[in-house]
Amino acid sequence: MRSMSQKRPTVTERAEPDVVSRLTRFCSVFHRFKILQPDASTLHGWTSGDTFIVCGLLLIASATRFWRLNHPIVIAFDETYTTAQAYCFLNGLPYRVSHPALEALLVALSMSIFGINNSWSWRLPNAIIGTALVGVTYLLGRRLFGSRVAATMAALFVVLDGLFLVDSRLALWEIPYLTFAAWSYLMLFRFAQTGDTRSRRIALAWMGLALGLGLGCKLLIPAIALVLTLAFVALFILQDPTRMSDRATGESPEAYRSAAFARQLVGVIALVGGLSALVYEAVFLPNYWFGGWRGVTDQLAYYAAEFRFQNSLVTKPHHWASPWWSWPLMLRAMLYWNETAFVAGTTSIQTSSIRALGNPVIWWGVLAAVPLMAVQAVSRKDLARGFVVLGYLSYLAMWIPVPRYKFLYYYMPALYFGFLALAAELDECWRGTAHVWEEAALLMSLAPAIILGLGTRLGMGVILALATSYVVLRRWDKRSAGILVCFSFLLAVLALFVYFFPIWTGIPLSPERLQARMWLHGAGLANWN
Amino acid sequence: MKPPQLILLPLLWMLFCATPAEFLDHNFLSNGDFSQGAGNTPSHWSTATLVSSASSTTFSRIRESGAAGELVISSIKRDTARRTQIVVLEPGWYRLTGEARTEGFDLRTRTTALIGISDPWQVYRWSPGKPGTSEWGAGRLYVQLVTTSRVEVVCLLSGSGGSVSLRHFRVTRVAGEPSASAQKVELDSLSAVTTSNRKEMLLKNYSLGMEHAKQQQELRRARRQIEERCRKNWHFVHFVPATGSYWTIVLTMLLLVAIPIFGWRALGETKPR
Repeated sequence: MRSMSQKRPTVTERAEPDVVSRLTRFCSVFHRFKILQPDASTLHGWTSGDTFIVCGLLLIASATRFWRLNHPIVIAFDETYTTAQAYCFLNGLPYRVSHPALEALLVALSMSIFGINNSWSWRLPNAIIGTALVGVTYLLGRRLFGSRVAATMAALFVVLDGLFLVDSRLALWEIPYLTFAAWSYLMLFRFAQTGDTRSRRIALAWMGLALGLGLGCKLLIPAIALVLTLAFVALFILQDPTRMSDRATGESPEAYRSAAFARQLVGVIALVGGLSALVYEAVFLPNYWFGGWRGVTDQLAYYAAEFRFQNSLVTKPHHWASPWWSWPLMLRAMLYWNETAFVAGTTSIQTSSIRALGNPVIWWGVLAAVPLMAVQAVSRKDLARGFVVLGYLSYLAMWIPVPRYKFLYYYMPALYFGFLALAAELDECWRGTAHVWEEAALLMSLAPAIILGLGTRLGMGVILALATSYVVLRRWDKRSAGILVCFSFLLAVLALFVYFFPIWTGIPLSPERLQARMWLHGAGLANWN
Repeated sequence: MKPPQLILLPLLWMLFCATPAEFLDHNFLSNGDFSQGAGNTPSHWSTATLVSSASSTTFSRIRESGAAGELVISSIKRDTARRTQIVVLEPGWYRLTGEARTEGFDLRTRTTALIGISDPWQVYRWSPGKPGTSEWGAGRLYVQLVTTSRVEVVCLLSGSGGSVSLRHFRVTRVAGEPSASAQKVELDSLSAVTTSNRKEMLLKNYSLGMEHAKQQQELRRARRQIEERCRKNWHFVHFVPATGSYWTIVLTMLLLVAIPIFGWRALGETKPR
């Protein structure tokens, strides 16, 4: 018999345990996943070693991003939109382009300081942000995997990849939204790994700000970052809804958990979603200020017009277009800028070009690393690894239903997760904790680049030598074999960075040297020319 | 003034007027009508290809007896091929004119044909004919030289196949600056060919960094491009009338400020309500 002191539960309270139990059952699989806790991390606080590594990485990144930044001094590729939009803003004119205006606002700021008559000035913001991305990647890798080696390698991949280099040296939209997305991922895991309520709120506020800035850079693509981070925040809260609250007495645990979860979820959506929406909307204010738009209905009309425009691109072919599935294989590179100089009276010609082409070793290594990481995420119940894999797949899968023509650089946000996955896998090799088949898969991913770069005969010889060395070392010492894999990979990445650097930065090459770098030159899709 | 002197004056005037006209009509190109030469090789014109080993690129000359010739460059594989001639020109304005047509262009592969002048950095040109058709089209390009220069005149085909034909090619002097709407190029002393070895010049330029004058010229071009696009978009924006009310954006911003504040406070509560 129920005692008189017991209060009759309200409808809400009766329903709450059911909701929680249903959610708990639904998410039981995630409950078993673990988040890297600060205590569980192999790293204990920031050390001078971290400072040294970050400074070194930033130094290398700035050297590659700022060197001859003014070259070419003409407008390259889609810079025509960002610079024109910036110029319009500087002259108090509205400008409407497919993408939100943050990149153009940054370019306008730089132009207002350093002048318009300088290609360096309109590329400066991206060079700074592209350099900052390297530092953010180190912090993210360190937090995700608790390893300096993984963090350093992830940041190195950002430094040494061609597409990230090229887009950091031109006034295009990709690098800013990628950097802000990376910052939001960093804040997500800071949120997950912090117990203090205030720190968690600050992390969420930073996340909202970063997501808003990302959304303000590029049409729609950064929305994946918003959905991904919000979903994982919800997941982290669900794992322990009471973490941000002191448990009140006199309430059933289920009811308390349910109420805490609901309140925190609403709070997170309001804080992160609201802040990002505020920043996103603020990016459009120049269009209102300069009279292009007068009210929100004009902005809605812009979305409708943009939707019609994107749909109009469905049937149009494009020379540089490539399907989404071809991006991980890097079948179709893009030419951003090209200039051929003829030598009078001779047949000597030199071509300077800037090509949207990645570092093949990194790109094809990512193809091996992501499935390996997916297996580890499930087998180890590791939420950080799961996040990386889901991030990669989400950014790639978002393009499957999109019918318009697509370009290789749309792969960059997925590739960024690929860098993290590859770095973590190589870190496993470095520590000697990787399985034979994992190391073999990573070594095998080097094979296409070795054969295409050195030719079939020499390439096969190098692969054979590498495989033999690995087998011998593996029998002798497991860790040494892992270190061999790591070093082979990094050496190949570095060699190809040097080799392809001229076609990423517009250094003139003779036709023979240029053609030698066009590893894929088929008649169809597989063509880097 | 005596009568014979009176007769002489108009004659002198006519001579004065006639000389510049003749001078202005002079074609500075040697064999610009491609009438001289042996077989497929027109006199005074040299050839070059980007892909040195390309056997799929052909240079030819079509000439019917008594008529002006026609220069043809055709390619069946990816290549950049050119016919060039170097002419020495005094400072002033010049006009390049000619008729050209393209055939067999695959528009998807962005094959281009360019006719104009090249400097170590780029080709200033017009694109001949209507892409995708084989109709003859007339082209015109104005060039200004500030010093006496060796200028490389070029007919170029770049891409994965097709052919470009050129006839009646002329470089003539013009009296003054052409109209604002004309396609024109200002070549400073650096842009024009002043040395016999352009490769040396190119490498020297790269090793020393871009020359200031060259940069200024490129930047002027870039700025014009930026301004042009801005102006076009400005017109485009204003063809779409703004219909909204300012208070809607004010309210939206206020709402968007309130939502994160609510979220911040909701997350800060120590226990549920």
